[in-house]
Amino acid sequence: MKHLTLLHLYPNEMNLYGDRGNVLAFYRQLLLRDAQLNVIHASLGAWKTSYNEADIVFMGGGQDAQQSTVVEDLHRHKADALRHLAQEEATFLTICGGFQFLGHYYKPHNGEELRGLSLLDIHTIAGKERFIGNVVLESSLAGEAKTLVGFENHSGLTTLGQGVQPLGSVVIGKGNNGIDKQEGAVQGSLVGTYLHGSLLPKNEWLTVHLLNQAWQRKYGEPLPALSANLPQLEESFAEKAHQEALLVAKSKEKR
Amino acid sequence: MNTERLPQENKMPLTWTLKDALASLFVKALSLAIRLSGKGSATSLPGKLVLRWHPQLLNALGKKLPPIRIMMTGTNGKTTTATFLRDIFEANHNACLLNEKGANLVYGITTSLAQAVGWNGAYHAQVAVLETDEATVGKVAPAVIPSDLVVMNLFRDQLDRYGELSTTAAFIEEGIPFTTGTIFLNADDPMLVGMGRNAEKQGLDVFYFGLNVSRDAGEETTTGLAKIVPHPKEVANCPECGQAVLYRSRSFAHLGDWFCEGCGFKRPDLDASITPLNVEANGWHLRLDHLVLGQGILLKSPLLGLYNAYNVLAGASVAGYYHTPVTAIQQALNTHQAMFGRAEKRLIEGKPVQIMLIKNPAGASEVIKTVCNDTQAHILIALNDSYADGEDVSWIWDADFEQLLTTHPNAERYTVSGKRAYDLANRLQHASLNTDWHPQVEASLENALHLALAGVKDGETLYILPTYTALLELPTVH
Repeated sequence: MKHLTLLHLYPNEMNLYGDRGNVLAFYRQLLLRDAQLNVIHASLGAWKTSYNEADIVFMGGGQDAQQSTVVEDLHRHKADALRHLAQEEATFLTICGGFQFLGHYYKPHNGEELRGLSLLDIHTIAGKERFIGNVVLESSLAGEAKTLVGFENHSGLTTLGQGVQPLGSVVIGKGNNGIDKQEGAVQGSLVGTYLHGSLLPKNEWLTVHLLNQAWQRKYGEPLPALSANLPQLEESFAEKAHQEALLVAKSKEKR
Repeated sequence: MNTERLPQENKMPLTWTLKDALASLFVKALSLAIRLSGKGSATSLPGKLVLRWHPQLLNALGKKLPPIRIMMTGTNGKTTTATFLRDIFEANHNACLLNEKGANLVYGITTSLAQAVGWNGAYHAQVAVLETDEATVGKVAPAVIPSDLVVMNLFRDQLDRYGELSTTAAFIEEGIPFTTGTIFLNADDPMLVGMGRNAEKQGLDVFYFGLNVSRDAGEETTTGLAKIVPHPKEVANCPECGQAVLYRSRSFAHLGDWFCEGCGFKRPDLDASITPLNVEANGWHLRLDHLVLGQGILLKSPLLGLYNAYNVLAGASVAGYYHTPVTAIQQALNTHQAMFGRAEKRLIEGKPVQIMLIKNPAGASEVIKTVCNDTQAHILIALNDSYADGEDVSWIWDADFEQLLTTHPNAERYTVSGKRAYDLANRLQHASLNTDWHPQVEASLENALHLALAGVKDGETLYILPTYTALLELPTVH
């Protein structure tokens, strides 16, 4: 069976708001296409050669207490290999804390600046206010403008540099910094965002887009179509959950 | 640990003014009127209104409480434990005041106390137990001057309110300087031991309780999809050096007999512990070891699940500290009515139903274990996203629905409801290895309940797992 390999970075340390749901979404989407997702976990410690097989690299958000441990481990054991994977155009999806670590640095309120991997041309400075709430974005990542729904919970204010595009523009919510109406970052095959929710399970088009990107790179052909054995549904739960989250975000915005 | 000490008389003025009495009367009248009208919350609104007119009322009410005034907080189990503790005291013929279920914020506590206080400012109680929301501890403690503070645990819950777990811990710590006596802490939670270290530095007594389990009780549950996409092991950090701790044994989530490889710090010696023994049809046997009550005490509890063992332990820790006899603890266990949605068994339309509140990953995963013990279970889950539920529904992806779907793969046994019914249906579908897995979805909880009950045959039970506001919507819970 054809497959993709996903490298899940720090699954224990970096999983604050259900970010593992993104891995489940990748898994299910491939299952629907008679393909398979192999998941490798990379915790604290040395880089293993099996990690190099990664077609997709995923990292979620973490609590402050875990962040410095993780940053130290990234630089000590993972930085060079991850840089290599990025150069080889592996697909990266990083959420919240994981997103911040891919940038140049994160400067907390008090305490030392945490140096990032500089894979994304972004930097983050802790703000006074915490942005917590529903988010709706409009994103043209897959060509035509499409909607993304999720939930943000961060105090870091992220600014994008020259070489990077936002994942989307903010329709509802705060986004990267509450000022420029931008959310997330895209640089080549790397994507970062603040959206939890989980993000991918209710934004099916993004799951398909990222899988297609990884599949093209590995097999030189588009992602296989949905299995013919599946019953034909007018709307999947994923799509209905997307619509439901959109309605909730709109109704709560009015209040 | 000094067990001789009794709570000091608090040194705050004990005056009770006419204004205090009138304000309390106003609360009683308004609560009654709201109840009779059947509209609105009778626990929150009166307190909210009266504090506008008389901002010092909670202060006055607090100072008049009996000398033993116990504040109970933590993410999971505070309602169950507070009620259990009240039952123990009452079984020992100590009249006990307890705030109303769920009325654990400033307005709710003010309302509850004003309703209970007499015209002359006296309460008909020898003990007060105040279940208090984590973020409210620092606001209520200065008014109440608690004799003791009990912290059950800290789990990731409603982070959409406070952002980070350390913020929640800081809110609780604000209450510590106002506590005159003992801080009761769950030693199995490293973050709480950090709190205990700070309390000891302030000269307070700390009483540690914890469970003795023989192995990693969460280990055997890795099934189905969770083998491929495992649930993250909760990481907790050493309160001394900050390094992630390791466990000799773990009860669930990040609770257990922990130690730090980095600095050698470990779970402190326990002042009270429970060792779970054998489970029987109508409950399980627990061994209690307690600094005051003695060693090797056998209890029998109708409440299954390790999370309930913590609740029993916390209640017994406090009651025993006040020299309440074991017979009162056992009596409270025997008569224990499982609390408001926390593990409620009842008949609806003549069919057996068990209602268990879900509100965060750790609690929901423990509830799921209970549902998995019944091979004939029918399951109704209702997910709302109001403020009281947590507006961020991301947490459902961290709850162990993989185990539920492995044990109960049959979609016909599931009904999904609530304002975020499709988010939940989508979550459950992602927990199944069957690509075509479809539960019934019915956004209206009333309709969902009828639908689910229709499928329940003789000898089968419907398990209802609602979030908080969905629980309130259930027509039969009033």
